[in-house]
Amino acid sequence: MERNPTARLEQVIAAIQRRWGTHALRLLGDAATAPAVPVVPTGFAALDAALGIGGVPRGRLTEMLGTPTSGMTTIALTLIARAQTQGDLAGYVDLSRTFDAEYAAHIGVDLVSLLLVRPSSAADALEIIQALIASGGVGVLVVDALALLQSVPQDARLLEQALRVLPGVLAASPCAVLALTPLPYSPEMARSLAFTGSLLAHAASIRLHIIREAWLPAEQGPPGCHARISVLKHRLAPTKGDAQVLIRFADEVKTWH
Amino acid sequence: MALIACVQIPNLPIAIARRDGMAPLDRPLVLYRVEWQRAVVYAASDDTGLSPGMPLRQARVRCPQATYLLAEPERDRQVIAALAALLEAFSPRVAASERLPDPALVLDLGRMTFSQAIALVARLDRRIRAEIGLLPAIGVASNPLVAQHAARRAGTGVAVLVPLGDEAAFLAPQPIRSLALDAEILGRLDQLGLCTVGDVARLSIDALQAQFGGAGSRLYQLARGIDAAPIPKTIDAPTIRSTRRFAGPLLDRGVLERVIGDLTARLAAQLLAEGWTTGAVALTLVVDDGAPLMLERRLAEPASDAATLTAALFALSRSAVLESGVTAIMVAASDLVPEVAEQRDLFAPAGGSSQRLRDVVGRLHGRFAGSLLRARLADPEALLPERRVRLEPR
Repeated sequence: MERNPTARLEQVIAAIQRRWGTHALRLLGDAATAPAVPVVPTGFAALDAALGIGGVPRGRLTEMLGTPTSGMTTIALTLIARAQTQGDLAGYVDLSRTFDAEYAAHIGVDLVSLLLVRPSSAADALEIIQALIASGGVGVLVVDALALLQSVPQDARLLEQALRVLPGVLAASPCAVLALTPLPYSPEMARSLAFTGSLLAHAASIRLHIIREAWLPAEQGPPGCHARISVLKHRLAPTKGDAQVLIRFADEVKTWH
Repeated sequence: MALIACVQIPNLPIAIARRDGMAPLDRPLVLYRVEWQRAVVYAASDDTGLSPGMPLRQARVRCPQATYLLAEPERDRQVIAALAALLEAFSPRVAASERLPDPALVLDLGRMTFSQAIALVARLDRRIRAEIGLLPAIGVASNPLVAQHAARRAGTGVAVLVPLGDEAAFLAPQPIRSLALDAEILGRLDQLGLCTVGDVARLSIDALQAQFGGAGSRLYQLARGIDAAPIPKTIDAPTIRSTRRFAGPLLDRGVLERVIGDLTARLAAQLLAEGWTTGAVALTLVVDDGAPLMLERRLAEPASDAATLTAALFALSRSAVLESGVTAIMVAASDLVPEVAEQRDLFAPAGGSSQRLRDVVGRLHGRFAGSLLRARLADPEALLPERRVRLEPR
């Protein structure tokens, strides 16, 4: 029996890893033992760096929260465009019925191969989402305003049930699911909603909060804003701080540090 | 998964009369016939509000503005026969019911995925429109009963596909009278307050057998969308062969395999040219002294590509024990089914997962047709945003 506690701990860790795999237990600081998480790059170098894994993870649910005009949808569409250039098929579940095809095309989304879903009820939406993920053929699925289902008690129950099953289905799929959660304009309300009270908060592996910090001055060309993206939760890697990005709404999207 | 398609031409006699320009399109049309010296309505367009069998005199009073023509049932039968002949190009098993005015033709599509069925239905629809000049209603399901209900629900120029496992749910809202049951059973179901198929499907087989005896178990199956009645073979699907004879007997396996490869390539080209896929391949080796050696192999799924066929035929040839030289080789493709066009534009890059996704989208499309969309930039110069972008069903 090894008397040195550190050596004994290492033996126990090795035994656990032999039995249940290296993913079962590892030291967070040990980058060498960390399994590479397959990701879809967001198209924003600063955000990819802040996430610590290089993008939005596949087989996981990522939630992004932000007020309207914070740039949340632009980031989601950029992610879709990036995924399409990598050969992935992308889907957009438009629960809020606000999908702007013209703007998506402007961002670089290939509309022909985009699977746009506008379900007529929450039950339909959850069934379609689950079926598309389980098919294994979708690389990125953006779900706009999934958290809105919580506002109707019956839909909230369906969402809760679906979120219990979803991680299992997702884990076996190469699909990166990005749920967009619009927040109210009031900063206090937004903050409270962002940090508590969401069913998605528990299910999501990563939660991002995007805040518009400043509009670009008119003389600096097309409209845009500086935004700060905070990582509220990260189950896959230690976070590397906030990301600051420059988003242009009517022109190309660039990264800014 | 074996699928059954049902093709109907709703109100066939009226559709034929309209197609042949026998009556103006904008006026109600009534066809009548004379039986037992009494004129009765044979078929009537939907806008007349008349039903077949009604006395002509009464019909003229109720719908004086309609055009009245003498029916030609023989012409209707000819159209049904032409339709059946057309469908036999898609399946060797076609059954036609000439029950006018809505005859139904049921065909066995064999094993295929849902997305393949969608492509096949589109081809079927195009050919019927082009060659018969009529708009079909098509239903596809795992059995004839549900396929017929699907076609009935589809309506003119529409196809309805019922996914495997959804048969009972699809039939549930239908009135119980839509099942082919005898009047006595229908009357008793009515007395029991069981109006829809779903009402009956909720009952146990014991309860139904207690009420209806032997017919109870049949009723139990029908209400759950189970119909195992096979469609008899109406025509023999062709067998495509390719043969080569040698000047003298050959024993060299390498040479024989090269010849089999050549013959298979020719066979695959012929299958492709005629639009078939084969479910089974056969290899016949005519040996110098003795009976020909015949070997057959069923393929895991119908194929027409040379690589799959060659692999199967090589495996057959390697299993053959040759004690004397081969004087002729014949390769044959049997159990032919029509080739189904693949959708290649959207899901081309990926492999198995894209096939699964196609199936999933096909299945979802059957259930949530209006929810799956494709956005298209229509007119970039239009002032109104809704005109610049068009959302189309996928």
